[in-house]
Amino acid sequence: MATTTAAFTLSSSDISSSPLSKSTTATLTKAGTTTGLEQTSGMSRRILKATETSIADLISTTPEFTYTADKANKVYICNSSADSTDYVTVTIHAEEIGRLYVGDWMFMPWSASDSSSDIRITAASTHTNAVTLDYMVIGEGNAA
Amino acid sequence: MPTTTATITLNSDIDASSLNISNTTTLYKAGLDTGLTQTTGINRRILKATDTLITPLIPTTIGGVFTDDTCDYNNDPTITHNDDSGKIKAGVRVYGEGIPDGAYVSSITSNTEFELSASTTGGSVTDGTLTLEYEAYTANKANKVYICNSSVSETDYIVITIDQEPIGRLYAGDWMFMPWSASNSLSSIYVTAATQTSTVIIDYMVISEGDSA
Repeated sequence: MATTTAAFTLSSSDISSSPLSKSTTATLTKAGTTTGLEQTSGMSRRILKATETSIADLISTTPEFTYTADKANKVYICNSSADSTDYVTVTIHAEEIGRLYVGDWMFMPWSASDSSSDIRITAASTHTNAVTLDYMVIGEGNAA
Repeated sequence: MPTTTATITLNSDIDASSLNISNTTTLYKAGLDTGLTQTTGINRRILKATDTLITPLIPTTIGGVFTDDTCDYNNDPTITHNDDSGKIKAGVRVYGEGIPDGAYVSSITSNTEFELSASTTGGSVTDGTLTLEYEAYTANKANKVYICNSSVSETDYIVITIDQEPIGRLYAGDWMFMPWSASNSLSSIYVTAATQTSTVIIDYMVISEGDSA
């Protein structure tokens, strides 16, 4: 059984009157069990050219296998670009989640609840350079 | 200017070559190299085993609500009122007689007039009382949200929803850190603990650019 841990540390000495420090570690397990997640897409990289400003699929609910819906899938996405003004908007279905600016990363659960739940990205219409996205899914896989 | 960093470290033997990722980002304002300046701090919300309905966790607004009892409107998006010295802000939700569900302040015309996102209904109202939210997070910026299910029972989970879109399930011990557009007044973050058997503890925090003013 695979053991995968995801640790998070947030630190700020000066965003409030008392220093802000938060650390937590999760062991990524299958839904409702203590068994570790067993499948991963591995770290992938997608590069959007400066001319690519339309919404595009980044992570599909149906790759070579189908992610099991409404389970404990996790998604990591990082905007590894270099220009500080460039961002990508992350969307699930029709809902805009948020904007990842250069260097920003996100880690979130992903229901993949139906075939419309692909994770999609839109590079800012103003981006002037290629946008580099690194991403990975750690999931339960194979709904069958 | 505050300096706030967020680090993720992923380690696993999930594939043939070990997975080791560590990434630190400094949380900046949108498109700038100046740090985010505002935070809610860590909040804790406890849901009882009987709290099984969808529940607002993080609203798009900051600071609660107030009322204005001088509002005039008549089947139109335009609402006039006594001078509020700038208290009413664009982007906040509005509630009251004749106000459609989900309506919000789309723009401020002056300290005595604003435009609603939809026409009012029900005819003429004079000196009506409307409830308005104070402030809204700046939409489409670099807001960040942290949520952790700090419960202990591995079978208990919460569903995270933005507006009406289920994002994913956080099982006990799971955490998430994501950008949050708060793109409109409907973009609040909700949680649903539909099947839990014991109390669910949720820790959460917003780090943001602050209000839309």
